[in-house]
Amino acid sequence: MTLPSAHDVALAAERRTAARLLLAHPLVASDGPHADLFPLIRRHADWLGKRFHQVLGYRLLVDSSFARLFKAGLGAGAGHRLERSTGTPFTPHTYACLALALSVLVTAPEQMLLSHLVADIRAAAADAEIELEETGRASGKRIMVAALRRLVEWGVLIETEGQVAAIVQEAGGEALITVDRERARVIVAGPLAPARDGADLVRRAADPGFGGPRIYVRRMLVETPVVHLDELTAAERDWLRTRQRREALAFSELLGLEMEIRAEGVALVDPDEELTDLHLPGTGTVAQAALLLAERLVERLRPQEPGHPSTGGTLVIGVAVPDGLVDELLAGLITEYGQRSNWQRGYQEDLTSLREAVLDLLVRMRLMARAGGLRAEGEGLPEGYAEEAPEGRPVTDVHGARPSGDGWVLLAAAARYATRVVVRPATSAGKGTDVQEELPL
Amino acid sequence: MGAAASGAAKDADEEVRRRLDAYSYLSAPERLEHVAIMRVFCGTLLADLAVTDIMGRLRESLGSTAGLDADTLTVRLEQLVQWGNLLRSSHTVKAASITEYQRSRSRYQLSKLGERIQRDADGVLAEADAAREVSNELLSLVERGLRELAGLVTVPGGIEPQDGLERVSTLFVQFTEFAESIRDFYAYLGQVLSRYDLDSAEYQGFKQLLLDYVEAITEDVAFRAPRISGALDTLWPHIPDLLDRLDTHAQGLAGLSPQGDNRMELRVQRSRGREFADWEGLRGWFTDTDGQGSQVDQLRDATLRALQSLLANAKRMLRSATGEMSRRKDLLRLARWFNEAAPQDAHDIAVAAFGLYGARHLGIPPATDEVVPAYTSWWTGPVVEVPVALRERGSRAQRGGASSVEDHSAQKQRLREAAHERAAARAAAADELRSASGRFAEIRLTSAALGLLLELLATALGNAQLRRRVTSDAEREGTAGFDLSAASSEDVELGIRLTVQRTPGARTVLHSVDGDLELDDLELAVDRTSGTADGETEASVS
Repeated sequence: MTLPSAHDVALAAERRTAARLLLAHPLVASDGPHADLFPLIRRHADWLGKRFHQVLGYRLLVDSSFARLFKAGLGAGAGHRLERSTGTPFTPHTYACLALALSVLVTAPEQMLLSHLVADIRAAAADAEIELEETGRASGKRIMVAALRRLVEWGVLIETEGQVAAIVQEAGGEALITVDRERARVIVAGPLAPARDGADLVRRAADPGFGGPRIYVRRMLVETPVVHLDELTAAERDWLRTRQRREALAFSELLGLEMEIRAEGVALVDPDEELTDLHLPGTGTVAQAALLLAERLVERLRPQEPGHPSTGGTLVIGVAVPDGLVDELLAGLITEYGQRSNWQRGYQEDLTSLREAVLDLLVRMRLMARAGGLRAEGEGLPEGYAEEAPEGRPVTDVHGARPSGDGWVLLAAAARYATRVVVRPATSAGKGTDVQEELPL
Repeated sequence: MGAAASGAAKDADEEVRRRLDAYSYLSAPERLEHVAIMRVFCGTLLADLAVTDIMGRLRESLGSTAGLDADTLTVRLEQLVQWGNLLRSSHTVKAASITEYQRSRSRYQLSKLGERIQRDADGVLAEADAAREVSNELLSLVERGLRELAGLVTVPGGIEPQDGLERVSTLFVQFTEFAESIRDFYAYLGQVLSRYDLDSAEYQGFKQLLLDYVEAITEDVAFRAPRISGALDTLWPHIPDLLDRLDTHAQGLAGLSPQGDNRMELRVQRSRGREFADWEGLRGWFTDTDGQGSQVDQLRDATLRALQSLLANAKRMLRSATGEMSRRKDLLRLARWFNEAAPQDAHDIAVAAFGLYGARHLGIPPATDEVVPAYTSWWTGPVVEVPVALRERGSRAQRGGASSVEDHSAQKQRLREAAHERAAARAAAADELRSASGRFAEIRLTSAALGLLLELLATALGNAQLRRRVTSDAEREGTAGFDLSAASSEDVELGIRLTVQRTPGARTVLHSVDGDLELDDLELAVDRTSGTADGETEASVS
């Protein structure tokens, strides 16, 4: 075996950079904000295409002016969403408007006037039997602008003269729009045609297909912050537990992500803290409050003797958060940190809005959740998906590892942000001098 | 003069506007009724009709206008008169009764303009939106006709007028028909190719139409055009002569107007081929006469454009096997799902449909220098170190001078506790060592005790070396090896002293949970120091 040369190291670094960029931004334009890295994607297009297909079952399309990684769905409650420039999440109406605009654009001519585009979108709405909010009204116009602005951001629309925001102007502002039909065609990645309805689409899009548990688990690891064991079927848990160390090595090499393997699940963490769309720990009132809340909740609710069944412990993936505890802790945090850390006044004064924002962030980071259906119990599985582990293989039992009902649940991974160092139970100290081995869990 | 000219131009504009008014009936809300009425008039030659006659004929036609009552019909008729499509009849009738008089007053007949427009409108309505065949066999007839005419005209004595008249008329009828069919065909092609939504069956059809048919036409035209131009060139010098001759032979309507007296301004439209301009048009079709390119050239361009357009369509279709229409249909369905979904579900649908989300990961990686067993629980396992700035201030920036004083009491408390714990652990280790002294071989030390012992041993050996140097400097007497006769070290705080004795052949073994430590030629003794303020120690042998 020879040592890797400087060239090999540089090559691996370039590929890792390109792969990370595509995972963070599945549509990269040669003239967009990541124009400087686009040549890397072009250079390693073949290698990247093969790797993404082999590892994650994703298709990569590299064109002369853009690169598109066709990602799969993440199932229900993924916690991703499109937002307006103001940070307001898209409403169902705004999404509908976006889909209508795309339906116009895939057959649109090279250039069109904004007013024609709007008229075509309204015609499409009529075809789809959707009642668009009266576009004469300001709110209706703003919805239209939000959808079109998103298309401009994606590079599907190019504002040749004027801006799409002209719609909201009085007296019919006009703009000349150039349409990139190629890009309009690569916006849709999900299996629209076979899907029966929205819920069916969500289910089908997350279906790993022939890749089975291998592809599904890897996608969850790469795309989501934490994978708790009860969010996997028995077959998926089996695959993960037998493969986790090798996968850790592979993801470290391929993407520079470090794997944290615990009894309750696995998380891939980015040491550079770049490969993520949300930051926790992060800056700002909500991120700070969320971190502090998680820390205090863990202190209050940490279960007795949690562990892994194979070492005699009790698997606890989530603990119920009593009603009112979140509010109580948040109120305390406001008193303690609000002034000192200069929290946003709106949040300091309105506990409800702070709670909503903080819980939203913690849920999206998979540190908290609403109690509800779990994949381990068959929730959200595509039809004909093999969920049982190969016969005779012992799999960690996750039954009852998180509370049922309809309250909030604090998830195990939140405990990694607790500040108090916990004294390990005496059992591990009494084990003697043996090397600690990975158990075949 | 200028005023007169502008006045004349104004009149001309007024005239054009008036004539165009005759089209109004086709765009009025009641256009279906108008058309039905006009058809009644067009159905008869040179007839004026009364309201009742028209009503009768409308009933016979059984159309949607069959139920029109007399009053409404009169209103419609008056309107048509106003637009200039109908004329009030000047036909006078001697009436025998009031009713008959009134009826005879309201008789209508067709205007020339009205008739022409109605005929065109019927033509447009009758025309299916389909490709019209190009009668390119006519082109060869045109060619033959021209050649024969050229031959006849150039013979001495010229052409016999009646024969010439027949030949010219035939020629122009054929040519006009051919030119029209070509124009129709290309208009149809243009309309079809401007669509982006051809499905593959349509595309197949058009491919045949274009690649085969268009090519055939263009080739045919390209083949005939030079011959026709040639014949026209031969004919050209004789045309004025020929036209004169024809005019003298058969004057047609023009002959009816009083010679040299144009005051009546009776305008006559000559039949095709009798004016020099008609011939110029014919020639312009085949040869480039005015630098704008002949019709043949334009035809070639149009064909090229059509082929390009078809290619673009083909390219698009290859790119998406499913076709744009189904893609559009899918997107419309998606829009409907979005519209019906609850806000949270809409987000999930968007993730599934677009897959344009970025990967998401937690911050702060696990410490890499410690291997944590896979069964370790998150609840009790190692935690990550959140930078103080992020945790305490929610900011990554280094602390600026202006920020408020921070409260470190919690951390201080923690540090104090930690220090206290450490001190307690060391004291326990010292106790353990003291009790173990002299019987190291028999007992197993804890990890903390061994750590403390090694700490003391290292210090003792260091002290011994120092002493050796001092000794040798003072007495200038070299000794081999270390002088460990009285090497020792102590920790006053813990009240513990280690004495190391060098005894060749001796062997001390320390057992501990971390493993065994063997010391050759050394003997160890641990005892208590009774610490005093000035650090003086008193040995007490254990």
